[in-house]
Amino acid sequence: MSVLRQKLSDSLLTRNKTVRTLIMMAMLLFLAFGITGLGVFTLMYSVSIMSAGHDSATSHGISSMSSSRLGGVAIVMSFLLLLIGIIVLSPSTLGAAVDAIFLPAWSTVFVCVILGASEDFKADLLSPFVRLAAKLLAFGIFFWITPSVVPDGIGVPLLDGLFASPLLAWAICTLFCVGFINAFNMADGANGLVPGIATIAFGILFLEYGGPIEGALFFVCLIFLIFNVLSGWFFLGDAGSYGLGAALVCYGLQGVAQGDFSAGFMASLLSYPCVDFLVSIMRRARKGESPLRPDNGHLHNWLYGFYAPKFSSRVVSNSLAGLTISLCSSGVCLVIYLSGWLPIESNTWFGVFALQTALYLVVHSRLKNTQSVESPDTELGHFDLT
Amino acid sequence: MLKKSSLALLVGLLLMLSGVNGMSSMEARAVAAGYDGSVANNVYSISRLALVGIVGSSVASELIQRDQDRMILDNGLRTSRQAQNQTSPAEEAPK
Repeated sequence: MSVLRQKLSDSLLTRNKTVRTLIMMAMLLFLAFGITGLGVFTLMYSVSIMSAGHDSATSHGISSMSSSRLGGVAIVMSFLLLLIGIIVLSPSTLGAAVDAIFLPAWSTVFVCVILGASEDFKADLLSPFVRLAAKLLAFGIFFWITPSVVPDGIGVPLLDGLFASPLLAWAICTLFCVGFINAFNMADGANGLVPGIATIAFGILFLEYGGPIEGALFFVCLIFLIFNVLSGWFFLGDAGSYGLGAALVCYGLQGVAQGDFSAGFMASLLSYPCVDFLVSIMRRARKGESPLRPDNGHLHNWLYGFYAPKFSSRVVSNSLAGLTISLCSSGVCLVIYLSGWLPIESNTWFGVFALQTALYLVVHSRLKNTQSVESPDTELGHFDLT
Repeated sequence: MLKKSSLALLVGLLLMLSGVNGMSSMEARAVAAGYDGSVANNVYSISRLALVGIVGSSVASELIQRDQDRMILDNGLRTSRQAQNQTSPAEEAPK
């Protein structure tokens, strides 16, 4: 009887805590985004309580509650609804819609979203090889039919020679994009990490281009970031990391090809996924392990191990680890951009990227040495190279 | 559970669409006023804050200000600033 009473009490406490978190998020989002934000939040909440794409409490290393990995699906739904609303209700036509690159670019992003969503709804529905081949094909076709997106050079003398050959440039861009999407997916291991980077990146793109598409993406990513960081039960999933990664890489390449910003700027803005991906592969190769094998040696894992003893809540430690990394990598880029210290067309941004890489290596090494355990005791997120 | 999520989805959709509708009417008012700044600069009005919030209101103003340079209206007309930069067909016609 006493056990039953204890269980009931625990259940009520958890429910009260969840309701309090939901009310707090709703109030915060109403203040920041009004009833539109409240609408997106309600839609995201409805997706998060769907039985599809749900993980039980035991399947997540740090999450003590049942969670959903349909965050990416919710982002796509909210973004499409906002876009359809703007197109149908607005007295104007989207300027971007008349752009020749619009349809091929967003079709490629959509293919990546579908590939990720298939994994979110049913794990291993498509084999890693099929997903990799589909992404290579999608980006290969995209760059083939829109060669204007392929940059003539990226400001690095050795690589610029390779970009002189159109066929080589096409192959490099295709491989780079697929690699970047996988890097983005691999970095998605802590609350607020990838959503934070994506929010900052779309915020900068909105300030740069000022279009409704960038505005809607920034708006939806920021709402998801708040939901993800505060709740700790709603994750981006493969659909989100593939989709946001594909959208960012398309914007990045187009911007570099048009001369809107330098390749160094994009490298600095998206430094964490790129550096973490390369370091992880080298670490595994040095140990003689498969580069595709997941491990707990990422910086966000070590940082979580640093925060975990200081906070009783796993969600707080997890969210702090993610936010610290996104603010110290892309956040630095945002501060430099807003303060106007460096023009975004400048190749000096490669210097900022080099400093970010050095900071990553120093912090990674320090955290690894100071933590006595072999590796952090918990798996923060999932790992998937394809 | 399905009923709960469906209800939340419906409420979310309605709230979102009412927000987008409000934003669109804001844009329509800005077009009608010839982008004189009366809509774009009115960032902190109560009705607008309720509709899109503090951050959303700034984003909406930015969108309206940027749109005036490149907006294509559904009736085929261009916005005032673009129209000033273009020569009208009547002016081009031989006299």
